Amino acid sequence: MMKEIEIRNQVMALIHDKLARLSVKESELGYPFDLVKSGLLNSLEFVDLVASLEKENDREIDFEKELATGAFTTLGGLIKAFSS
Amino acid sequence: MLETYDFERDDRFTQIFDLTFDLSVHDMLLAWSIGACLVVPDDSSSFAMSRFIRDKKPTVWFSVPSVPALMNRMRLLKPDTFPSLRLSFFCGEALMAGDARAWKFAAPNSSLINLYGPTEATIAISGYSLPGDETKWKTALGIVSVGKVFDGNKYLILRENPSDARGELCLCGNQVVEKYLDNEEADKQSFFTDADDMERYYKTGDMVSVDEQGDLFYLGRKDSEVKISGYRVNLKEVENVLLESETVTQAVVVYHDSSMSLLAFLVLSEIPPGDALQKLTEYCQSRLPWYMVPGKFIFVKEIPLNDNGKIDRKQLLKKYDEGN
Repeated sequence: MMKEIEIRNQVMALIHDKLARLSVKESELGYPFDLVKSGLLNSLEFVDLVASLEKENDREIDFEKELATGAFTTLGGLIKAFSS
Repeated sequence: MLETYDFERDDRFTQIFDLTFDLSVHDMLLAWSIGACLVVPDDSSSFAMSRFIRDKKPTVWFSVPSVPALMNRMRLLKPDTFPSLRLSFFCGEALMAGDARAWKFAAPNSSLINLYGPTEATIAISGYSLPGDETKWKTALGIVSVGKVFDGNKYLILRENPSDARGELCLCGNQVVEKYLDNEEADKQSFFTDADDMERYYKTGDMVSVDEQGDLFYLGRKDSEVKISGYRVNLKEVENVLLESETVTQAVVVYHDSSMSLLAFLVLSEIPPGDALQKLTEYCQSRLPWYMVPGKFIFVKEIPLNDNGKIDRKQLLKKYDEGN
């Protein structure tokens, strides 16, 4: 649980400017929120976000495996991928 | 296209473009004109492409170069991942040699063809088949050549000075539109009649050079060129050099009028270390002439995009001016 909170905080810090520009509050983002389908991030920005998280957590994500879950681009899916 | 490439009835063509994008017509008409199969993904996001290719086993691929670029960044272009592909076409953007190489790695049985064609000369008006031997690939600024203009069309290069190697590509022929609909102003800006052959040409706004074999090289948009201390500088060229550095993941270079210098807005793959500015300056000095080295490097978390999904250079400049 601690790890999940840590990853969520990292994600929020990385997308903070984007959320502010769109007037979206962090508290409004639940785990099912899809970062790409919502239009918050485009594909390239999402991959950049993953790359930043990889750097911060010193681990490499298997995109193929994570994308197969169908939920990787959701906030919850992203957090799960990095906290598992 | 049918005469140039050996499409077969057994081929399976991809169709991953939005129907509002003229490139979508290419796949549909080619496939159906020879009775071949068209395979369309449920989800056209770049994320889904790897699985789509493996599941549907297309033999003919067509996409903008950002699709392989993104898949490459996601480490999805592993060796021999897409053995079904035998022809891969790219069009719509500059094809970077690194991304083409990664695609070839993943689709070793495929020939790669880089197409070029503005909407006014749709769909493609020139093409370059990349040789099997990578060392023979023709590139400029890290961008793969767009090859020769197809039969039935011709081109000329509008150069500022006759001795210039580069200039604006102008097109004429049976694929080029005659005019815009009810827009005389745009017609005046974009079309002209050449005094030598008295033919009507379309000014593409794309800067190109050409080699001795007649292969064209895309060098960026005309409006991406500026003059600094009398030297002509292509902003795209500076961006490409920055992108080749280890830590830069995104680079946008703009000309700042009031300081008459280049500003480089950079997204780094890591938190900028204390000596980042010095290292980047030294790196650029080792790769670029002095007048192309940016006067300032500005680290940003992200590059802003406008409503059309294109880089918002005006916003970058505005933010910079507000902060100074």
